[in-house]
Amino acid sequence: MIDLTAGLMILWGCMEAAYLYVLFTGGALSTYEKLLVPALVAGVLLAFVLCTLYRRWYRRQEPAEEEKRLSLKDGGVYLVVLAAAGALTLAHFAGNYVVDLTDAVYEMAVNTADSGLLMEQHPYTGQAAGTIPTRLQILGLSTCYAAVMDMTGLSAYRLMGQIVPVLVWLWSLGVYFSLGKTLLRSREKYVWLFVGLVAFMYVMTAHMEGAAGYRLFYGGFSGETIRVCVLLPFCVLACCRKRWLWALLAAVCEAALVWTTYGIGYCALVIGVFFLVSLWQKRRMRA
Amino acid sequence: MNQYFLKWQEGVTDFKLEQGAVLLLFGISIFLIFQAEGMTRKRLASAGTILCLLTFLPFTATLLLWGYSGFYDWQDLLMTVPVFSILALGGCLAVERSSHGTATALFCIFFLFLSVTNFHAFDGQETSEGYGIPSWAGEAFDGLQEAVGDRELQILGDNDLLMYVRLYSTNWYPVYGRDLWDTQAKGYVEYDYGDLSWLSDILAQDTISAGNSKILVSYVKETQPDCLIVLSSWESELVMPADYNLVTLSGQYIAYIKNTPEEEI
Repeated sequence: MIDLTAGLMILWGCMEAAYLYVLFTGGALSTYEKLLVPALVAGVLLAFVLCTLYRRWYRRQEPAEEEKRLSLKDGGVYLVVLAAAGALTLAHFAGNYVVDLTDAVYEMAVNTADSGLLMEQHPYTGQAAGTIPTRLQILGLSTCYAAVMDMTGLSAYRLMGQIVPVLVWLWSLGVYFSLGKTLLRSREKYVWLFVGLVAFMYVMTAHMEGAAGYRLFYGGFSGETIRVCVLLPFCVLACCRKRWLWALLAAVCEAALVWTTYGIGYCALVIGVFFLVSLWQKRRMRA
Repeated sequence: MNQYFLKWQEGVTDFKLEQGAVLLLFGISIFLIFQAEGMTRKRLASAGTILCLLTFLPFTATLLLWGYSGFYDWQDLLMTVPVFSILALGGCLAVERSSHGTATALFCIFFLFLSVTNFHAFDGQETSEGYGIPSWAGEAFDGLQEAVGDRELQILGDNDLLMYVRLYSTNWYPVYGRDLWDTQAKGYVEYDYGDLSWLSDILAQDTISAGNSKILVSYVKETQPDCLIVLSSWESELVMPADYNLVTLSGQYIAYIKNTPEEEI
């Protein structure tokens, strides 16, 4: 899962590169859509090559520890927690709910799909915008949604309110599953409980404004949600396994998804702290 | 720096009971993780503790908020603490190590407490199907759609309603966008209409006085928006120009829609 997530981030990087190219050459949404398929193909190839090379290099550095493949059977009774939380979550997304509008991604995507222009409309009014700051223009998530809506004919609510949040939720559980395997080595039967508790906590925090559950349930399409549900847990996973390159990749991905201070976001803080703790542990081991 | 310190202070003051319970559960989990074996787990617990301290201690939290340009609230900063990972690991260890009876019992009690206090994810407000907006807003927009069809409209109105307008139809343009009075929204795009807080104050009220009515009507005469949406209780107080037609949108809202040039001829 760690390599798959890293691969998805590389894929997103290629799509973002295509977006930036179109943005800075003054292209429209249709140009971005034409570039999207080649960018995806290039992304898949690049992700495959980089992940394979990094995995080999990593195995040479750190002797590979046998990792047991887990099936649903290993979960036993603990799967009930996951199934209950999963059913509640899916029921929520299958119905209707009021979308949280704490950022402008939703409106920006709707405006872009409607007008076919990139970053030229005020997200809140749909009218021509004089100045959208560059730090916001470079975030390509809303344009990606607009392209998907335009190409597939999906409504904004169907895509951003239902499909994307479910994908983010599944992606997040995948990352937590991998983290569970790392943290509960030799106690595999608890890995499914670990994932079940995480899924349960998403439901539990659904009404705590600002918490991960709330963001996922009411704004699962936004970059902030992807950061809190996928990128930050992935950072923790990569840091726990000392795969620092993948952790840095998450930090770069964060800079392309949400507004950061000149590219330094929350992932950088998490990596920094984990790195210092690792150094301290290393020194203690030597002493 | 003072404003960032105030943000931290505001965040800590607003800390809710269930958040406190999460924090307590977090502490119990950290204890359980440090009791268990394994370098990786201890790395996670140590980093989690440090990140928690960094976000809670006033000096470091202020520094971090300043570093992130103060765009985010202190509550957002809490995202950096790997709460879910530590809580889930704590839960697994609590189940596994029944010898730590007290910690396990505490863990279960607080988990149950959190479940009871927060397990109401589905009793939110009613929504308008397929739009992601509340049903009261959906009903008002249905009425407007019926009245104007595909016509493009510049709309002026209450922020509570207008924040959902772009989700309903891209043919409608809120004149000043949503979150007119939210300073944070200015981080997204620059507005050039100057200070209109007086207008937002009028539009946000449940009732309208005769004085405010005059101010609003003269503003409408000056700027000529295509549509003004207000609460239906305002009808008797507003004397709108003759080229605006009154349309009832729903029980709660009415709209004054400007005649099209053809209609005026």
